[in-house]
Amino acid sequence: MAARPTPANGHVLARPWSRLQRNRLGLWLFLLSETFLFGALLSSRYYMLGVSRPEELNQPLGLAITFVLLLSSLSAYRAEMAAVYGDLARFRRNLLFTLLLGALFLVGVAREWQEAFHYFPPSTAYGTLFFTTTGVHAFHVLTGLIGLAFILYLNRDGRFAGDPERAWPVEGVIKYWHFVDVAWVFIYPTLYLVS
Amino acid sequence: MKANGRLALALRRGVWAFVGLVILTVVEFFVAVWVVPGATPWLALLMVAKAWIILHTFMHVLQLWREEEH
Repeated sequence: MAARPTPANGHVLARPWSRLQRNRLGLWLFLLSETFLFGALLSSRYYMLGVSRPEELNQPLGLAITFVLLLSSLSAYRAEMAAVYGDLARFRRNLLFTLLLGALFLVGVAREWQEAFHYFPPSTAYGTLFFTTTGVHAFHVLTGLIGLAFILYLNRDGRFAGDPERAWPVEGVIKYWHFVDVAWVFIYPTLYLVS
Repeated sequence: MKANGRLALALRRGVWAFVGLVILTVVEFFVAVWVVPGATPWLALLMVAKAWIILHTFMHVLQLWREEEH
């Protein structure tokens, strides 16, 4: 009978994945599935319209809300790091700031929609792409904000702070927030800049 | 390194990543405005660069292949 493989008889045992590693893999697979959704929306823009875009797009507003979302990624990252290293006050401050910036982003999108309805309504080719893509993205922003608010409330006593294992709920929600930012990194130039 | 030192290092890394993202966004905007014919490939490159900064620095994508670390 063959000996059971052990380090003593020269066999290298694969280290079993920790719960944290399994959680991370699961989240990344979920984010990958979301990538297919945004990928389909963005590729349909190029398929239907090539690289043409309407002149009436509010470029300053598009650029401003992009900066708002990028800044929210920084504050979310700072909140996550604060949670991992047990700095609750910094965690709360940065997460609140992220929530504010996320809400500001949605206000900017609403303002953009107000103008867009006038110049390229959903009945037009560009309009349907614009409203569908920004609408799906805004829905992800909204669900991200709900998740962030939950984490802010649940972690008020520091139960998710101190080390990476305990901070996983914070890490998970904030990774989702960063994904929303990555999606906008592709959506913004695709809708506003290519020509 | 103590936890405070590691936290300060992580926060500093985040700020530099943000500065990089802002610079790339400004470049992106001016490439689109001033390099109108043939801007799309440059914009694609800039999109990928910005996405990588977020994936690497903020989302720690390389953690999937490494031990738990921050």
